[in-house]
Amino acid sequence: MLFPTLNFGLFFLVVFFASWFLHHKPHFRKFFLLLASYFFYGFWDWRFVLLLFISSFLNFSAGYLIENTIGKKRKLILITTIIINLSILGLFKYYGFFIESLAELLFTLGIERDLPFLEIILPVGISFFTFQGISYIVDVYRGKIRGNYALLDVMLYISFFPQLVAGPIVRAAHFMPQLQVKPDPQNILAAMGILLILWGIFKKAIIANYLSVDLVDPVFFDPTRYGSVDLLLACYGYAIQIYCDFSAYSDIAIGVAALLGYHFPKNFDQPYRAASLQEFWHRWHISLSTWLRDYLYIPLGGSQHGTFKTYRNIFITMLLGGLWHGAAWHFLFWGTFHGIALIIERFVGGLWKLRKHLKIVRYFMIFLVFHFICFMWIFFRAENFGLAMDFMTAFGNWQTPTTLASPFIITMILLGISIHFTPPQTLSKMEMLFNRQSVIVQGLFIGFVIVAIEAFSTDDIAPFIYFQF
Amino acid sequence: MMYTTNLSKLSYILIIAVLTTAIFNPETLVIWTQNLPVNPITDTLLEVTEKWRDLMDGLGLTKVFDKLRELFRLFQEMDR
Repeated sequence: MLFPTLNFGLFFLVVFFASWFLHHKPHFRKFFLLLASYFFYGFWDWRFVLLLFISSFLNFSAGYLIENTIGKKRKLILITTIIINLSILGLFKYYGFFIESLAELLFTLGIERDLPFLEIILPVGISFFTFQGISYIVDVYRGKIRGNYALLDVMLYISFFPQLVAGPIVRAAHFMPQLQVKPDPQNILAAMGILLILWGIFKKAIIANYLSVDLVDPVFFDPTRYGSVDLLLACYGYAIQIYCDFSAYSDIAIGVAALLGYHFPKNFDQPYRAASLQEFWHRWHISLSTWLRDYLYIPLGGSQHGTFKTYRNIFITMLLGGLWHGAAWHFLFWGTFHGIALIIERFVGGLWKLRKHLKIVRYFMIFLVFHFICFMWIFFRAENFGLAMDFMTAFGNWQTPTTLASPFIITMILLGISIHFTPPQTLSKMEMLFNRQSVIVQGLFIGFVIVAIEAFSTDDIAPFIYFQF
Repeated sequence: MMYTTNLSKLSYILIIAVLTTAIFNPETLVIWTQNLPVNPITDTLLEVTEKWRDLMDGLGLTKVFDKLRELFRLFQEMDR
């Protein structure tokens, strides 16, 4: 069930009215939201609902045991549960990659073996709900939250449908306390929720979808057929597409949660206006970046144990961040190269200080960082490492005339870039303006925006890019 | 600054929004109904949505959607 479809629209209306109808009975409401979330997840493949249940139950049990145990056993329970969580994730996500790589290695060495190849379907959103589960037990272990929450609360936290399949990765310490409070029907963040949903649908259905179909997909399918201008446009196009696609999902998730009375943290903050790579990772997929920082980089030692160990920790974090996206060499390369670039940036720290004073240097750095990110997206988007190299090689082909550059495509790219340079308070001002209008004007505005988006978009909308992770 | 709304106001806003989309773009409803599993209930639903679409067509209200789509396609096909 994709967000910008009528199926989801109808599902959401039923959930919205029924859940608020039950707001006097918080337990029933939570149970209803859990059922709705399982229905939402089962809409893709009902078999994986059981996996979601097992994951939730495992983390609930571990949290309970950690809370009610003292001494070294707590750590043992924590580590065992993390290993089980990661094993489940690994089985579904990395088994195929591991076996294929092993087979290739054995073949290269002249050894041929019958390896146990299995066709394993990747459950949608497994990386997201696994990370949420780990966040829960680690937070209980660290004493940030209590481990005596009811099973229903833990299950709803891990399965809550707005963020279930593509984030944001909501922390237990952020969300669980919200489940303990009775939702207030007098104070719904409606303006914010509605505007984020509409903005998200626009970004996904118009900008991301057209850039994908008319530019990025054909070029990345066979880069050797295109000249330098088309390749450059596809590079920019993918940078905008992935931003509009992924941030759209986060915006809609935050908006839907707000209309149901819950608060999710921001996941994107105009990432392409970053003047350093470190700043980029503070603005892009914030919930994953901060997750990796708090549950991986800091436990590894962070920046507290000297220069070498700091660089090592950055490298490991980015490498695993790359692998989180999928089991493939091009993701590994993408993460590794980002890690190396972050280390170099940290090493050449003088530019950072200079940039703070000179605006022109900051603009130059934004330009530089944006182009580095675009370059790295080539490895992220290409189906395999070979195609990424084809893309690089074809860049030298200045003779082939452009076949894809059109005013429409260029407008979409410029629109996507301009989003990054609007004043940060734009949403807040729009909320104020929207909130001032009468009920009829607000309703008509939503209706006409949806009609316009439907008129502009294609009949079929591709799934969100991050569903595959 | 947080801008909040109460449930009854929000419910009216959503109902007006749904009606607006159903009036100006009834075709989406027809397509959605056509994709449902065939049974007596969905047959009736399809009949109702088609009648609704014909009514809106007759009143000329769907022209807004068609005109918007036409303009957008013109822009999309520019210089191709």
